[in-house]
Amino acid sequence: MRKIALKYCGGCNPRYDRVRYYQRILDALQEEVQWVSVEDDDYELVLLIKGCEASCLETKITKTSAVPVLIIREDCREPAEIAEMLLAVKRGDDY
Amino acid sequence: MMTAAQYEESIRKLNLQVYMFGKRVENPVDNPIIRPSMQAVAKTYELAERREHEDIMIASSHLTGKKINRFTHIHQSLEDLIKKSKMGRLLGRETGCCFQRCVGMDALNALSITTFNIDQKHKTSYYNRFVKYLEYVQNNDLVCDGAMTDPKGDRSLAPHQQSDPDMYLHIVEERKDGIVVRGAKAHQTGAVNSHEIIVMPTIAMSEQDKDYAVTFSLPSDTRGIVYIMGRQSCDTRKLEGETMDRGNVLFGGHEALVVFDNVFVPWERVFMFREYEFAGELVENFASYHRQSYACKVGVGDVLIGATQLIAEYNGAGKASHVKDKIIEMNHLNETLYCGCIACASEGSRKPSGTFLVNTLLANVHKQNITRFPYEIGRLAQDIAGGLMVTMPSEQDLKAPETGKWIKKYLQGRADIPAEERMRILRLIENITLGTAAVGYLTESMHGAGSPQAQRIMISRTVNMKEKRKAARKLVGLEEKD
Repeated sequence: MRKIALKYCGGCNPRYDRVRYYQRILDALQEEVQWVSVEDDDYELVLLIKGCEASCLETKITKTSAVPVLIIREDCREPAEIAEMLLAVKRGDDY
Repeated sequence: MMTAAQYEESIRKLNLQVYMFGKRVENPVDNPIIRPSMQAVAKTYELAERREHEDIMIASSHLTGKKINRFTHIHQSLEDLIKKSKMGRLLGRETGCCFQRCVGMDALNALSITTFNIDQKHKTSYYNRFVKYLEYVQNNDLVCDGAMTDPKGDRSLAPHQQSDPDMYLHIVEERKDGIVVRGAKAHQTGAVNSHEIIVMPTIAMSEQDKDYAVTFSLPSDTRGIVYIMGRQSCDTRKLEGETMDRGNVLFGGHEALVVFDNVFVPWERVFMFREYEFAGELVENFASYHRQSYACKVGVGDVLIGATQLIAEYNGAGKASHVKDKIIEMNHLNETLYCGCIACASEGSRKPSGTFLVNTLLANVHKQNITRFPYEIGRLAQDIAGGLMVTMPSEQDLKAPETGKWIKKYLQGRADIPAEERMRILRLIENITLGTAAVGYLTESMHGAGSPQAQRIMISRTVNMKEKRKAARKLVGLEEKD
């Protein structure tokens, strides 16, 4: 089972419903995933869900993360596409 | 950290002396007029529990390294200051009103600077005392009321010149184990929803005013502290049972006159004692932080703009060019306010204690805009809403069989929107622009954290006119003058 860390930005002024979009991604996942926090150890990927284009959290996460970071900035992509990417990204992949 | 439910229970346990409409309120938490304000404060706990907001709502304590609610945090970086502004907008939008917890955060941060500075000059130990207190606040995730504004009596007279010496809160007795104080603090936002009250002087002081130069904190239910609730426009609608006519059916704010009737303060809770020369610094720093805190009005503005867009659509006027243009103007004003609160945070600086303070000039400019723009945003909202906002019948009439049929028929706008939905949105606009929430969105925007003239004085004191003059002389070929 893949172990993925979920991190939201603070959501001060999001342009879409981040929680609902995450739920849609979950619904679209074809395999079970173990969701953890970025403060936990040993995960393969970070899913960073941001509410807008501002890079307030992005820089911090991408600079410090030892694993690939998949960043969501808007909800225009099909959740199934994101779900597929979550399962496909490997350690060492650059995002 | 406490959950929202734990916060409510903790407030329920307090034995506050609260009065409203001439009677003692034995149970403020469940009082229908006060309860919405408690729910707004509870939102500051609830959002901290939610993963999608933790990055803004939670900070790491510089004292213990533990995760704490940002409202109890001392700003350690520019990023902290920026997150504070963003948190204000977020909570303003989530509650549509004043959520009351920023004032305590601002008091804690201002004290972290001034207690350190007093110690540097007088070799006192206020900073250590303060740090112990801060740790207690952080570990218990408490709400603090920051109490600054004295009644002030005759404004032309200094505290010691007043005919009634209690017009400014002052020391009346010094004991071995502490001090006794007397006076009052006016307009105290969220006082009845607070675990603690932090008292500060309200103006810069001279040596003759040294008995008024006092800062301390106390549990809010300390013997001798009396809370007299302020009235708000349309407040008794909350007693009607039905909720639609309140506008905001969930949240609200409150203010109180807080009387200190010979109250004892133990030494370990005293953070300034007659060091009158630091009163002005504390006031200025607190005011700068608190002027930044008006970021919340951007969030309330988001709600009002959303409601205005909805009513335009429900009225069938959403596509009218003048309506669209007015909505653009409302957004322009609201985002200009956002620029101010982000700018004063981004240009902040580190003080000797390690605390980061906002840029004072920009914080004052931001607050000066706050004294104006919400009024214009409110005016445009009322313009688009139409007169029905203040002439439509009550929810009881909507529900009564004899009148409900007529209201549903004649208050219908667009055919696909039920009259009740239209009425609910109109009530929300009414609530924010002239009902209970207008206290926070309009008049508090005018006078909270200092009236407009206070910011103008600070702008004039902090702006660099010398460099501006030099820049002008240089461009016309005149010699630079110091």
